[in-house]
Amino acid sequence: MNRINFRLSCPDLLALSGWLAVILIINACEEVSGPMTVNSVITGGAYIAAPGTEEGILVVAHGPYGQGSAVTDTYGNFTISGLANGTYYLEYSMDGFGTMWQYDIRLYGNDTARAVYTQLYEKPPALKLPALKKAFIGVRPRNNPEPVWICFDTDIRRQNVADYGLQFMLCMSIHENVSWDNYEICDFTWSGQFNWDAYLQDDVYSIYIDIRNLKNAYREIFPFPTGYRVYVKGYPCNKGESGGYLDTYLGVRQFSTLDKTRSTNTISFIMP
Amino acid sequence: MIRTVIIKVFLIGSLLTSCSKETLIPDLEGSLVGYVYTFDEFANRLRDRSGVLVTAHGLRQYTTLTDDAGRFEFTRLPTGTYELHFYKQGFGGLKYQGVVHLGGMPTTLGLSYTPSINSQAFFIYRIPETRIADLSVGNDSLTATFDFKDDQPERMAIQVYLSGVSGFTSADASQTITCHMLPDNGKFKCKMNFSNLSFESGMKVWFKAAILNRKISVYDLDGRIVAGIDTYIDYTTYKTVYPNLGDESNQFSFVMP
Repeated sequence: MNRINFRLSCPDLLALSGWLAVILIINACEEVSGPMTVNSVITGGAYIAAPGTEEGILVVAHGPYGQGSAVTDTYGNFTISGLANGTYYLEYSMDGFGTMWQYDIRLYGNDTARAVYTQLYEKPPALKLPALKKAFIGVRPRNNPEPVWICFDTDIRRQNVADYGLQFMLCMSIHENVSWDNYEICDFTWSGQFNWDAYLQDDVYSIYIDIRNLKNAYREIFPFPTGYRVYVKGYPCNKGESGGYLDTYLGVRQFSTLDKTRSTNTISFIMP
Repeated sequence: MIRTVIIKVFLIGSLLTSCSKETLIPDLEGSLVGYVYTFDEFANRLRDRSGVLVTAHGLRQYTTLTDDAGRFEFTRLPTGTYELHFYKQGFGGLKYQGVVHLGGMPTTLGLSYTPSINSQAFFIYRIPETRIADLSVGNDSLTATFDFKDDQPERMAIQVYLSGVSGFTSADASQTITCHMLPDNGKFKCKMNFSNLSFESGMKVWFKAAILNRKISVYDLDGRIVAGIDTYIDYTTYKTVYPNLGDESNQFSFVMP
């Protein structure tokens, strides 16, 4: 190649410099929308109720410029680093356990935010749900029987109890079409026991709700006045997750292990 | 030659005066969510929590309304620090200062993720229509008679202003106390602890009162405690503002025992 061919005349050089300068100015003045910082950290902890390790819970931080993730160590701790400034929400998940979302983790830049310690609950087994056969207000058979319990007989007998999943919540409403999406109270405070049934010659599993406890838990907003017909339906859900968690974005209580696709039949009683 | 020099000077000048590095624009935006509860003048909870106008005052103003559940959401609100104003016809207007909104994913105000920590929400009350007809102090108690527009409530609370000077205003009262009153033979009474009053025995004390019913917290969201934000600081006077404080009563007096 002949180097002489690359020589440029003075006007050409000036024109080229001019264009280069214009490009430089345009590029230099470009306003870039992007994170102000990318060195923030979210730390936290998660654990599971079942015995074993806390290791292996996946925590994903969803933020304004994408997401970061980490897996909990043997102590349940996690650290997600290299995050941009902005507000995040965390998603906790693990196979066989309910997924939970924690909102409003704020990163200002060059900082470390601590997330609230979170417990994951095991999903209920995919066993049969009991049929709620009869609802009545009565006495719970005990050594010291107490009246005014809401009682439900079921189709579970002692000999076939292994076929049934007993992890479920009871949703109650004054509306006949009670469901997880249409309830006044969804509650775990039921307890169950086997009672001898002379006709069936077997122990039959019955479910009981203490009305006093129920009223006390809901106090000023107890929605079932005396004489109202209350409809009840059960949904599979880990009983350990009794309080659930608040979806602070939607403003509703959520249950990570709730299976909305399966439910018991609907049964009703008159509130005493 | 002169033209070349001019062009060179222009180019060098342009380069020097242009931006030396890229400018990052804090352009984040996102949702800001919160919750409002409404109460009547006696601090009884109302079912209808809709239609509360919420205004976010930042570099610009943004408005939104609450839904039936009292939830409000500003969508695509730019990053910034905001002061929220809550307004509904007939209710005391509430302010909430210093809301830091970073943008990105939703900023959620008040509600607590875990059941072990109480949640918070904004409480607004109807302005009292009830009037204080009479006040008297005696036998270690303060007695009030009210002119109720509707049914008599189960309890009343009043803010009592005291002074040693007749004709005083609530702003220059030497002492302010709150009385939580219960019905008593057609009137309302509360205990008066004179040992807490800073007046000498035998001194004539002038007092007046204003209705101030408040709710500390409510049970909601399936049995959780939601504490109320229902006052704010007026930074021009550095005093707490009670948005639903009623009108001041006439002035009454008693002799300090």
